[in-house]
Amino acid sequence: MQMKDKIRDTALWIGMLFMATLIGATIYQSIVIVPSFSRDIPNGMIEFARGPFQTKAFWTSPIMPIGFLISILALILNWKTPRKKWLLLSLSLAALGEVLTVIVVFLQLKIMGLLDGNPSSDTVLLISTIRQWIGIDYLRFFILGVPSFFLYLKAMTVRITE
Amino acid sequence: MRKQITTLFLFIAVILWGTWFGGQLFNEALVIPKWLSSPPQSMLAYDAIPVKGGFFFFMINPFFTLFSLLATIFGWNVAGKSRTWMLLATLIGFIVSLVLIFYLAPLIHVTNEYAIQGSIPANQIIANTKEWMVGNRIRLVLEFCGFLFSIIALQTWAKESIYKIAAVNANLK
Repeated sequence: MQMKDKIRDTALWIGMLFMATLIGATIYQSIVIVPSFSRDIPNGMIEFARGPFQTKAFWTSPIMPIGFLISILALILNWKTPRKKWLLLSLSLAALGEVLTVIVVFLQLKIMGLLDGNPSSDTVLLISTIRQWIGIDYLRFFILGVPSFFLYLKAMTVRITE
Repeated sequence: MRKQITTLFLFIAVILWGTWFGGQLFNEALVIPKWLSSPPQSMLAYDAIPVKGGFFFFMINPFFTLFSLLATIFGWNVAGKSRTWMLLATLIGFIVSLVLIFYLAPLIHVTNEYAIQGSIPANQIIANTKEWMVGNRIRLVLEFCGFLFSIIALQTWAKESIYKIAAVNANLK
Protein backbone atom coordinates (compact mmCIF):
# COMPACT_ATOMS: atom_id res chain seq x y z
CA MET A 1 0.00 0.00 0.00
CA GLN A 2 1.30 3.45 -0.93
CA MET A 3 1.86 6.18 1.66
CA LYS A 4 -0.91 8.27 0.07
CA ASP A 5 -3.38 5.43 0.57
CA LYS A 6 -2.29 4.97 4.17
CA ILE A 7 -2.96 8.66 4.90
CA ARG A 8 -6.38 8.37 3.22
CA ASP A 9 -7.22 5.31 5.30
CA THR A 10 -6.02 6.88 8.55
CA ALA A 11 -8.13 10.02 8.02
CA LEU A 12 -11.07 7.73 7.27
CA TRP A 13 -10.52 5.72 10.48
CA ILE A 14 -10.35 8.86 12.62
CA GLY A 15 -13.51 10.14 10.95
CA MET A 16 -15.12 6.77 11.71
CA LEU A 17 -14.17 7.10 15.38
CA PHE A 18 -15.87 10.50 15.43
CA MET A 19 -19.00 9.18 13.72
CA ALA A 20 -19.24 6.21 16.07
CA THR A 21 -18.67 8.41 19.11
CA LEU A 22 -21.54 10.61 17.97
CA ILE A 23 -23.86 7.63 17.44
CA GLY A 24 -22.87 5.91 20.71
CA ALA A 25 -23.21 9.09 22.74
CA THR A 26 -26.62 9.81 21.22
CA ILE A 27 -27.84 6.29 22.02
CA TYR A 28 -26.45 6.57 25.56
CA GLN A 29 -28.16 9.94 25.96
CA SER A 30 -31.48 8.55 24.66
CA ILE A 31 -31.38 5.52 26.95
CA VAL A 32 -29.88 7.04 30.08
CA ILE A 33 -30.29 10.82 30.15
CA VAL A 34 -33.57 11.56 28.32
CA PRO A 35 -35.77 9.22 30.44
CA SER A 36 -34.51 11.00 33.56
CA PHE A 37 -36.34 14.19 32.53
CA SER A 38 -39.04 12.93 30.15
CA ARG A 39 -40.70 10.91 32.95
CA ASP A 40 -42.12 14.15 34.41
CA ILE A 41 -42.35 17.12 32.01
CA PRO A 42 -41.47 19.89 32.84
CA ASN A 43 -40.42 19.23 36.47
CA GLY A 44 -37.99 16.46 35.51
CA MET A 45 -36.28 18.84 33.08
CA ILE A 46 -36.10 21.71 35.60
CA GLU A 47 -34.54 19.32 38.12
CA PHE A 48 -32.15 17.90 35.51
CA ALA A 49 -31.08 21.29 34.11
CA ARG A 50 -30.19 22.51 37.59
CA GLY A 51 -28.47 19.22 38.47
CA PRO A 52 -24.82 18.24 38.14
CA PHE A 53 -24.95 16.69 34.65
CA GLN A 54 -24.45 19.27 31.93
CA THR A 55 -24.80 17.49 28.61
CA LYS A 56 -23.35 20.55 26.86
CA ALA A 57 -20.00 19.60 28.41
CA PHE A 58 -19.86 16.77 25.89
CA TRP A 59 -21.73 18.18 22.89
CA THR A 60 -19.91 21.51 22.89
CA SER A 61 -16.51 19.94 23.57
CA PRO A 62 -13.72 20.29 20.95
CA ILE A 63 -14.21 16.59 20.04
CA MET A 64 -17.19 17.54 17.88
CA PRO A 65 -15.69 20.20 15.54
CA ILE A 66 -12.32 18.40 15.39
CA GLY A 67 -14.01 15.11 14.47
CA PHE A 68 -16.15 16.78 11.84
CA LEU A 69 -13.15 18.57 10.33
CA ILE A 70 -11.20 15.31 10.13
CA SER A 71 -14.17 13.68 8.39
CA ILE A 72 -14.13 16.53 5.86
CA LEU A 73 -10.39 16.03 5.47
CA ALA A 74 -11.05 12.33 4.81
CA LEU A 75 -13.49 13.37 2.07
CA ILE A 76 -10.94 15.73 0.51
CA LEU A 77 -8.22 13.07 0.61
CA ASN A 78 -10.55 10.51 -0.95
CA TRP A 79 -12.01 12.93 -3.51
CA LYS A 80 -10.50 11.17 -6.50
CA THR A 81 -11.36 7.68 -5.30
CA PRO A 82 -14.56 5.60 -5.60
CA ARG A 83 -15.20 6.39 -1.94
CA LYS A 84 -16.10 9.97 -2.83
CA LYS A 85 -19.84 9.49 -3.44
CA TRP A 86 -20.38 7.55 -0.19
CA LEU A 87 -18.41 10.04 1.88
CA LEU A 88 -20.09 12.98 0.20
CA LEU A 89 -23.53 11.54 0.93
CA SER A 90 -22.57 10.66 4.49
CA LEU A 91 -21.07 14.05 5.29
CA SER A 92 -23.93 15.91 3.59
CA LEU A 93 -26.34 14.23 5.98
CA ALA A 94 -24.03 14.96 8.91
CA ALA A 95 -23.76 18.60 7.81
CA LEU A 96 -27.57 18.82 7.60
CA GLY A 97 -27.66 17.51 11.16
CA GLU A 98 -25.19 20.22 12.23
CA VAL A 99 -27.26 22.93 10.53
CA LEU A 100 -30.43 21.64 12.18
CA THR A 101 -28.62 21.65 15.51
CA VAL A 102 -27.40 25.22 15.17
CA ILE A 103 -30.67 26.66 13.80
CA VAL A 104 -33.25 24.73 15.83
CA VAL A 105 -31.77 22.59 18.59
CA PHE A 106 -29.55 25.21 20.26
CA LEU A 107 -32.55 27.49 20.79
CA GLN A 108 -34.49 24.57 22.29
CA LEU A 109 -31.58 23.68 24.58
CA LYS A 110 -31.47 27.29 25.75
CA ILE A 111 -35.21 27.25 26.57
CA MET A 112 -34.81 23.89 28.38
CA GLY A 113 -31.93 25.31 30.42
CA LEU A 114 -29.41 22.76 29.18
CA LEU A 115 -26.95 25.46 28.14
CA ASP A 116 -26.96 27.66 31.23
CA GLY A 117 -28.88 25.72 33.90
CA ASN A 118 -31.87 28.12 33.77
CA PRO A 119 -34.97 26.59 32.16
CA SER A 120 -37.60 29.03 30.83
CA SER A 121 -40.13 30.18 33.44
CA ASP A 122 -42.85 30.03 30.77
CA THR A 123 -44.21 26.56 31.58
CA VAL A 124 -46.27 26.19 28.38
CA LEU A 125 -43.27 27.08 26.22
CA LEU A 126 -41.01 24.78 28.26
CA ILE A 127 -43.37 21.78 27.96
CA SER A 128 -43.84 22.21 24.20
CA THR A 129 -40.10 22.73 23.67
CA ILE A 130 -39.15 19.59 25.62
CA ARG A 131 -41.62 17.51 23.59
CA GLN A 132 -40.44 19.03 20.32
CA TRP A 133 -36.80 18.48 21.24
CA ILE A 134 -37.36 14.81 22.06
CA GLY A 135 -39.06 14.36 18.65
CA ILE A 136 -36.42 16.31 16.73
CA ASP A 137 -33.61 14.46 18.48
CA TYR A 138 -35.04 11.10 17.41
CA LEU A 139 -35.66 12.34 13.87
CA ARG A 140 -32.16 13.80 13.61
CA PHE A 141 -30.72 10.51 14.84
CA PHE A 142 -32.74 8.12 12.65
CA ILE A 143 -33.05 10.24 9.48
CA LEU A 144 -29.63 11.90 9.45
CA GLY A 145 -27.28 10.29 12.01
CA VAL A 146 -27.79 6.57 11.39
CA PRO A 147 -27.83 6.78 7.54
CA SER A 148 -24.75 9.02 7.67
CA PHE A 149 -22.95 6.43 9.83
CA PHE A 150 -23.91 3.55 7.53
CA LEU A 151 -22.84 5.46 4.41
CA TYR A 152 -19.50 6.21 6.02
CA LEU A 153 -19.14 2.56 6.92
CA LYS A 154 -19.89 1.66 3.29
CA ALA A 155 -17.19 4.10 2.14
CA MET A 156 -14.68 2.29 4.33
CA THR A 157 -15.27 -0.97 2.49
CA VAL A 158 -14.62 0.54 -0.96
CA ARG A 159 -11.25 -0.44 -2.40
CA ILE A 160 -9.05 2.35 -3.74
CA THR A 161 -5.79 0.58 -4.69
CA GLU A 162 -5.30 -1.32 -7.95
CA MET B 1 -22.87 -17.28 1.42
CA ARG B 2 -20.24 -17.66 4.12
CA LYS B 3 -18.56 -14.46 2.92
CA GLN B 4 -21.80 -12.49 3.00
CA ILE B 5 -22.52 -13.71 6.54
CA THR B 6 -19.01 -12.77 7.65
CA THR B 7 -19.39 -9.30 6.09
CA LEU B 8 -22.73 -8.84 7.85
CA PHE B 9 -21.29 -9.90 11.22
CA LEU B 10 -18.30 -7.60 10.72
CA PHE B 11 -20.61 -4.68 9.93
CA ILE B 12 -22.70 -5.36 13.03
CA ALA B 13 -19.55 -5.76 15.16
CA VAL B 14 -18.17 -2.37 14.01
CA ILE B 15 -21.52 -0.68 14.67
CA LEU B 16 -21.74 -2.21 18.17
CA TRP B 17 -18.09 -1.49 18.99
CA GLY B 18 -18.59 2.11 17.89
CA THR B 19 -21.82 2.52 19.81
CA TRP B 20 -20.24 1.03 22.91
CA PHE B 21 -17.12 3.16 22.66
CA GLY B 22 -19.10 6.35 22.02
CA GLY B 23 -21.39 5.67 24.96
CA GLN B 24 -18.43 4.90 27.22
CA LEU B 25 -16.70 8.11 26.16
CA PHE B 26 -19.88 10.09 26.88
CA ASN B 27 -20.11 8.38 30.28
CA GLU B 28 -16.43 9.07 31.02
CA ALA B 29 -16.66 12.73 29.98
CA LEU B 30 -20.02 13.61 31.47
CA VAL B 31 -21.31 11.26 34.15
CA ILE B 32 -18.26 9.89 35.95
CA PRO B 33 -16.58 13.26 36.77
CA LYS B 34 -19.77 14.39 38.57
CA TRP B 35 -20.69 11.04 40.07
CA LEU B 36 -17.27 10.46 41.59
CA SER B 37 -16.21 14.09 42.13
CA SER B 38 -16.21 13.84 45.94
CA PRO B 39 -17.18 10.38 47.17
CA PRO B 40 -19.12 9.32 49.15
CA GLN B 41 -21.27 12.52 49.11
CA SER B 42 -21.33 12.78 45.29
CA MET B 43 -22.33 9.10 45.06
CA LEU B 44 -25.23 9.70 47.42
CA ALA B 45 -26.31 12.71 45.35
CA TYR B 46 -26.08 10.60 42.19
CA ASP B 47 -28.16 7.85 43.73
CA ALA B 48 -30.94 10.37 44.41
CA ILE B 49 -31.37 11.30 40.73
CA PRO B 50 -32.90 9.00 38.14
CA VAL B 51 -29.88 8.83 35.80
CA LYS B 52 -28.74 5.24 35.48
CA GLY B 53 -26.36 3.99 32.82
CA GLY B 54 -26.40 0.31 33.70
CA PHE B 55 -29.02 -0.66 31.14
CA PHE B 56 -26.99 0.78 28.24
CA PHE B 57 -23.91 -1.20 29.21
CA PHE B 58 -25.84 -4.35 30.02
CA MET B 59 -27.61 -4.17 26.65
CA ILE B 60 -24.59 -3.71 24.38
CA ASN B 61 -21.63 -5.30 26.17
CA PRO B 62 -22.23 -8.99 25.33
CA PHE B 63 -23.06 -8.32 21.70
CA PHE B 64 -19.96 -6.62 20.35
CA THR B 65 -17.91 -9.55 21.63
CA LEU B 66 -20.43 -12.04 20.25
CA PHE B 67 -20.51 -10.52 16.76
CA SER B 68 -16.71 -10.16 16.63
CA LEU B 69 -16.50 -13.84 17.56
CA LEU B 70 -19.11 -14.88 14.99
CA ALA B 71 -17.30 -12.92 12.26
CA THR B 72 -14.02 -14.61 13.24
CA ILE B 73 -15.57 -18.08 13.22
CA PHE B 74 -17.41 -17.63 9.91
CA GLY B 75 -14.50 -15.91 8.20
CA TRP B 76 -11.73 -18.12 9.61
CA ASN B 77 -11.17 -20.32 6.57
CA VAL B 78 -11.67 -17.67 3.92
CA ALA B 79 -10.01 -14.64 5.51
CA GLY B 80 -6.41 -13.63 4.94
CA LYS B 81 -4.77 -10.85 6.93
CA SER B 82 -8.17 -9.69 8.19
CA ARG B 83 -8.32 -12.85 10.35
CA THR B 84 -5.65 -11.43 12.66
CA TRP B 85 -7.63 -8.20 13.15
CA MET B 86 -10.87 -10.09 13.71
CA LEU B 87 -9.16 -12.29 16.27
CA LEU B 88 -7.61 -9.29 18.05
CA ALA B 89 -10.96 -7.46 18.23
CA THR B 90 -12.60 -10.64 19.60
CA LEU B 91 -9.85 -11.14 22.19
CA ILE B 92 -10.16 -7.56 23.39
CA GLY B 93 -13.94 -7.99 23.51
CA PHE B 94 -13.51 -11.03 25.75
CA ILE B 95 -10.95 -9.34 28.00
CA VAL B 96 -13.11 -6.22 28.36
CA SER B 97 -16.21 -8.32 29.13
CA LEU B 98 -14.40 -10.46 31.71
CA VAL B 99 -12.81 -7.43 33.41
CA LEU B 100 -16.21 -5.74 33.52
CA ILE B 101 -18.13 -8.75 34.85
CA PHE B 102 -15.61 -10.01 37.40
CA TYR B 103 -13.82 -6.86 38.50
CA LEU B 104 -15.09 -3.38 37.56
CA ALA B 105 -18.86 -3.92 37.89
CA PRO B 106 -18.71 -5.72 41.29
CA LEU B 107 -16.16 -3.19 42.61
CA ILE B 108 -18.25 -0.11 41.81
CA HIS B 109 -21.53 -1.79 42.74
CA VAL B 110 -20.27 -2.77 46.19
CA THR B 111 -18.59 0.63 46.71
CA ASN B 112 -21.80 2.41 45.76
CA GLU B 113 -23.80 0.27 48.20
CA TYR B 114 -21.28 0.97 50.96
CA ALA B 115 -21.48 4.71 50.20
CA ILE B 116 -25.28 4.65 50.43
CA GLN B 117 -25.30 2.58 53.63
CA GLY B 118 -22.30 4.40 55.12
CA SER B 119 -21.02 1.03 56.30
CA ILE B 120 -17.31 1.56 55.54
CA PRO B 121 -15.05 4.59 56.17
CA ALA B 122 -15.07 7.40 53.59
CA ASN B 123 -11.35 6.99 52.84
CA GLN B 124 -11.96 3.36 51.83
CA ILE B 125 -14.73 4.47 49.49
CA ILE B 126 -12.43 7.11 47.99
CA ALA B 127 -9.68 4.49 47.51
CA ASN B 128 -12.15 2.09 45.83
CA THR B 129 -13.49 4.75 43.47
CA LYS B 130 -9.96 5.81 42.49
CA GLU B 131 -9.08 2.18 41.76
CA TRP B 132 -12.25 1.84 39.68
CA MET B 133 -11.59 5.06 37.74
CA VAL B 134 -8.08 3.89 36.78
CA GLY B 135 -9.46 0.49 35.76
CA ASN B 136 -12.24 2.11 33.77
CA ARG B 137 -9.80 4.32 31.85
CA ILE B 138 -7.61 1.33 31.02
CA ARG B 139 -10.74 -0.42 29.79
CA LEU B 140 -11.61 2.61 27.66
CA VAL B 141 -8.16 2.49 26.03
CA LEU B 142 -8.61 -1.25 25.37
CA GLU B 143 -12.03 -0.58 23.89
CA PHE B 144 -10.58 2.06 21.64
CA CYS B 145 -8.11 -0.57 20.36
CA GLY B 146 -10.90 -3.14 19.96
CA PHE B 147 -12.98 -0.68 17.98
CA LEU B 148 -10.04 0.32 15.80
CA PHE B 149 -9.15 -3.33 15.14
CA SER B 150 -12.74 -4.09 14.17
CA ILE B 151 -12.63 -1.20 11.65
CA ILE B 152 -9.31 -2.45 10.24
CA ALA B 153 -10.72 -6.00 10.10
CA LEU B 154 -13.73 -4.81 8.10
CA GLN B 155 -11.65 -2.77 5.71
CA THR B 156 -9.05 -5.50 5.21
CA TRP B 157 -11.79 -8.09 4.77
CA ALA B 158 -13.52 -5.93 2.14
CA LYS B 159 -10.25 -5.57 0.19
CA GLU B 160 -9.54 -9.31 0.39
CA SER B 161 -13.03 -10.16 -0.82
CA ILE B 162 -12.65 -7.88 -3.84
CA TYR B 163 -9.26 -9.37 -4.67
CA LYS B 164 -10.69 -12.89 -4.44
CA ILE B 165 -13.63 -12.01 -6.70
CA ALA B 166 -11.18 -10.48 -9.22
CA ALA B 167 -9.00 -13.62 -9.05
CA VAL B 168 -12.00 -15.90 -9.63
CA ASN B 169 -13.11 -13.75 -12.61
CA ALA B 170 -9.56 -13.86 -14.05
CA ASN B 171 -9.51 -17.68 -13.75
CA LEU B 172 -12.87 -17.95 -15.49
CA LYS B 173 -11.54 -15.92 -18.40
